[in-house]
Amino acid sequence: MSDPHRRFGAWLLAGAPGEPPRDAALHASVCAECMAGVAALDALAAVDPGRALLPPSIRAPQRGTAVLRTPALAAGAVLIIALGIAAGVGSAISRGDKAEGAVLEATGTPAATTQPTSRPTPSAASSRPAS
Amino acid sequence: MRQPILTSTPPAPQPELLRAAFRDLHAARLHGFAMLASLGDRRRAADATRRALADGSSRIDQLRHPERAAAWLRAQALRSLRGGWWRRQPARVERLAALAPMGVDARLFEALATLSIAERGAVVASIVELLNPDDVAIVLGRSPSRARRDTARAVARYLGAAATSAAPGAGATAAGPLSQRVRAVAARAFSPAASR
Repeated sequence: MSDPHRRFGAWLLAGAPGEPPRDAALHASVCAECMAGVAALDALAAVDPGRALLPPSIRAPQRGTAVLRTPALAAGAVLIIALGIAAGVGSAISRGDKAEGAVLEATGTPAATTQPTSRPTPSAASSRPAS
Repeated sequence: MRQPILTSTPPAPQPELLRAAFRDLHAARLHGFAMLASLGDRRRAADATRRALADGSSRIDQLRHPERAAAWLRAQALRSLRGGWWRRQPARVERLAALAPMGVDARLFEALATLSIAERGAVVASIVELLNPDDVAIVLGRSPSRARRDTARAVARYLGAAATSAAPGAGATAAGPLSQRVRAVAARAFSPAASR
């Protein structure tokens, strides 16, 4: 890569301020690559942002839409509500599990049973081996 | 009886009028900037413009200098555009149709499409809108030196993409202002005054 070529490229990348160095300009005027870069910047500079079609919502200020004026806010609100519902359902399920566990514990202890069992409780005499 | 023409100091303009004037001054070009930075995404550009103008109108006292205000508004718009990534992406045809009134052709579009939103913001602010480096730094939310580096990198990427997409605008704008400047300097090198 020749030095004028590199210097011209550096001048372009710096935003083409003022005039390019004379030898670099001389090189660029006969270098297809340099002039392609110049044409690309010229094409960009020819763009006119003021000619974009302005939507009606921008032409006149909007009123009375302060709360939910952006979809992002609406999406955030929906997300918070969904999280609240999920948390509520989750806690309800976990409470249900705990209650079921308590019932199982209660039925497991003899004191909890009030109904007499059909099988008689073996007494100390009956449990004694026959002689 | 004749009434004196200037009896007292003129009344201060009403806030509504100030806001309307602010909007009239900035809306069109700010929207164009947002359209270019979003690569023709009409919805996102309109939303970003609307929000930036609403924020700017509420700080109208701090944004009296038109160029500083322009840079500040573009910074707000760019920040909004970086946000809405979850939205539906318009088709290439829609984007091209949205950008066409500004003079963006298919080849220029392809070159711009290779850049990120922030890079497009840097390229548009510096080359299309010709904002000065300090204002470009405000647009990008960077220090001036960092903004200069980022802009140079964005321009380099744009030029690289332009070279691979067969030089956008080559032919139609071959004799653009920059091209004429370069050729004029080169021609002077051959003039008798330069050879002395």
